[in-house]
Amino acid sequence: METNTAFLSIEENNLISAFEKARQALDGEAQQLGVDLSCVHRIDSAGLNAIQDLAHRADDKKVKVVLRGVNVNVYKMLKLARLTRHFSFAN
Amino acid sequence: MIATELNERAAVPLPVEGPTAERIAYLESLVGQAKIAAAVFTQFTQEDVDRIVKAMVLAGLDQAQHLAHLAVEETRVGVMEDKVIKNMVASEFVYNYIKDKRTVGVIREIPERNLLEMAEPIGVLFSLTPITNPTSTVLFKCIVAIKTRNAVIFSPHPKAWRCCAEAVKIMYETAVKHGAPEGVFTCVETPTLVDNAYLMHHKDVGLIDATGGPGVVKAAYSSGKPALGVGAGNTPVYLEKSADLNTAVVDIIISKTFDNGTICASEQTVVIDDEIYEAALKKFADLGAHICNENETKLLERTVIDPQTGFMQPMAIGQKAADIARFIGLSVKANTKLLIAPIHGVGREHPLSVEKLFPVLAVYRAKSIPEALRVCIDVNHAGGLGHTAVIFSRNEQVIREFGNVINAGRIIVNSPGAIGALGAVYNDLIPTFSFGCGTGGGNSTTDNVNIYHYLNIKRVARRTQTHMWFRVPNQIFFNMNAVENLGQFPSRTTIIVTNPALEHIGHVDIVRRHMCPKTHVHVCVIPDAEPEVNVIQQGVEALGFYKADQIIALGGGSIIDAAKIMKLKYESPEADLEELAAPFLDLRKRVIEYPKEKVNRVRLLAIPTTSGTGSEVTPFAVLTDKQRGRKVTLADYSLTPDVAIVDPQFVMSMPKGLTADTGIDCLTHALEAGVSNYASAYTDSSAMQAIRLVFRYLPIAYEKPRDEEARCMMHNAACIAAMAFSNASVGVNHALAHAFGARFKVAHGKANALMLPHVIAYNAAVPTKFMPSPYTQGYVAHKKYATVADLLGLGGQTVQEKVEKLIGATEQLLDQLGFPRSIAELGIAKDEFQRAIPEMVKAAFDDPSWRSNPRMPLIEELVELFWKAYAGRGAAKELAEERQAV
Repeated sequence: METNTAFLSIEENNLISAFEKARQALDGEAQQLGVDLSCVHRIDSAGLNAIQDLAHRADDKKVKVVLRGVNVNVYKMLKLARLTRHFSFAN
Repeated sequence: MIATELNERAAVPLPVEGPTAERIAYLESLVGQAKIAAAVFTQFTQEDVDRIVKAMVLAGLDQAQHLAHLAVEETRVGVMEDKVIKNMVASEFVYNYIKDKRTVGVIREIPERNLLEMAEPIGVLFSLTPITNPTSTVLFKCIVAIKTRNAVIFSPHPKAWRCCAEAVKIMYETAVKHGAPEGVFTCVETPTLVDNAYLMHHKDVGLIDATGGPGVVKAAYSSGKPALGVGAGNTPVYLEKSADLNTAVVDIIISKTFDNGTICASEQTVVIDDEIYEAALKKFADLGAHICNENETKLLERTVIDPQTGFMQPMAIGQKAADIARFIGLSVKANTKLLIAPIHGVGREHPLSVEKLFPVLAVYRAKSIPEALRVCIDVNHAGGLGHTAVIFSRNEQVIREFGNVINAGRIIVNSPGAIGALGAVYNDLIPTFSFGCGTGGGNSTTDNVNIYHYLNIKRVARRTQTHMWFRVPNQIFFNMNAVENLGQFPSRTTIIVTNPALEHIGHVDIVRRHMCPKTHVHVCVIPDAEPEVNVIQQGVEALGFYKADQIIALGGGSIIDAAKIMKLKYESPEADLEELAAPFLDLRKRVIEYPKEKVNRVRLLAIPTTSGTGSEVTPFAVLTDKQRGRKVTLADYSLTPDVAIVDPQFVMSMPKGLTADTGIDCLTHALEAGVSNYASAYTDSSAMQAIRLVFRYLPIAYEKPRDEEARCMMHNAACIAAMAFSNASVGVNHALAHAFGARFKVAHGKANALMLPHVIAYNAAVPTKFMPSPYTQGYVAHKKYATVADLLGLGGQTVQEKVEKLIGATEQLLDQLGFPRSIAELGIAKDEFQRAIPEMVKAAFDDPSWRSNPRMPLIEELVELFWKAYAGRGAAKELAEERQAV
């Protein structure tokens, strides 16, 4: 079965709006969402809250979210916020 | 802090009824914000946090007066002006301490120990703050938390909530404005015991930092979370007769009246030496204290201390002395700073001997230093364990004695207790508003809490290779007629230690001929067996009787070992051989030290008459204790002879059997040193050369005993192999041989020979259990055996083939030398051997020889090795079969 995947690339200076777009993408047909974070070096509290919302929404919608290019500091932050289990990670 | 006031909000155990659903949602939102903030904070750099901290400190200084006003207005405790100082200390002094400290990433490098210390934030802290120092404690904790990248949920004392919430708000807004994560500080609104208990148990709270009385500290520790609990005090002060009285009295008044005595480190009972008691009270009175008479003291006892609980009355906390006096109906001058109440003991029957966080000070007149110290100990144990104590004295001995007997995290000398304990003002203690009180106070630390208590410190420990060594005698003379060098060693009186046979065949005469003329020579003839205690004692007596300055040990390993121990006991008569033989794992780290103090000095020259043990250059000596039926092995480089003379003329007449036995002992030394975990390039060069010499010359020396070259080379080989194993040690072959030889009275060389092929195969196989060793990199024993095979030109393509060739060559050598090739061949019955196995295995496992073996022998493996030796021949064949099977 072919998987319907949406892709998003996120820049550090538009984190909130980009995650909002990602959230909206979950409301569409996509069964999987790929989010490229390779340009993101640091995420602030608002950004982390947005990722948390995205994670919960994706769980509700049963959409798999794959985060790509997550740097190790951001990964550790997601781990501390107990969010890594909501996502898959790709290099 | 305060024993009573914080008890009321303590929660031990968790209240039965939890918070309402609505309240839980609220508390969860606080934790959620803090968790997100803490996670975000992990991405911050040192520069980021330092920038924020500096801004917060400036805000704290700017708002110090505002917050002090709020605190006094709300709590009605303390002195506004003093609270300003506290707020400024909490900001400026703390900043001064932490500003250059690293708290992100690598915080300390210790290159000489190959260690790095790295910081890991704790995450979310739950912090309880007190009524007595409300805003200063909040400022302090906020600054320290940001410096360490932690988020904090504050739960202020309910009676100090508004001022604390304002302090948190000021710190939070400043921090966020300068880049801190949102949600980094929150403050529980109208906190209750139930809220506190809920948060203390919350899974996302990493650390509880509870500043308060024993109740709150106990609640924190009972939560099962890591906690910094900083509790009550009861500071004893010893005003000793040598003290500078002017300074002492002023300091005590400063401290006890600072913020009306609300700092828990402030002075509670001053124990004054009899000689200066009257003068001290007069000075107190001159400077504004009221000295209570007996009735006034009784009035104070009844009013400021709760007769039911024995704790201070909350109404008195942080109040002025004059106000307290007026309130209880005590007539004093309007400007009275301090109420001083003489007491005659410590405990419930002396109510004023407890903590009093207000300007009431108990004083005790001590007739002697011991009495003064006893009373201070009593005060310390009456609620002040682990907290703070103060001494005024110029007598260093008394200061140290006080420090020794008082259990307090801070022992303040010749300065005010309260401000002294805060640190960085009167001394170099770390500035804090949280005093660790150690286990005496139910706390986990006695430190002044600061940044390092808000961090998980990670230690990156790089592999460290301990320095290695290569130690041999200063001088080794070798080759034919090397004994002529004896003339280089002048001596007044020399004792020659030897055995009857060597004396009989004229070896002693040869030695005598080459000694310095005019040397008085005495010959000490001892049996040629492992030396016994009584034999050693006779030798030591001879050394003492003749006042010898030189020993020449002429003989095999046993004779040389005996001489080594005689030297040890002669030079250090107190040396306890039993103690010196204590087991050890690493020669350089062992518990027992050999004596360095020497009563006598004597030079030891060793002239071996066999080519095997190498005792002339080793730091070992074996002693037999017949009374206890055991052998004692001594090992220390101080036992190594000063001079070795390796002259083959003394081995030309060695019988064939002895040539073979000692020769194989030498080969075993070299092979075991070669694969030892302590092997180094230095020992390898010796070991490899010795192996080469043995394979080439031992068969010749065995077949043609008068062959000078073969004898000479074997004599050198034994000495060279011994230099290798003196520094790299031996291995499991020796452990097995010692156990088997002792049990069945089999010569050491022969016992070694029976084990050797099996041990090579065993060490060359992948170990069941690797031996921990910082000296080696990876497992190399099999490769080193292969190197030996190459050195001997044995052929083979792979490492395994080469190992097989080496085992084959060893077996062939043993055959050539006429060794029995199995234990069974010695006539030892199988059932007898079977019965001996448990004892032998225990002895082998206890033997220190295998500690450097490349493979850690398991008990079952030792059993197997014994049985292989019993069955005999075939180790190479077995190895080849195993390889083919694989």
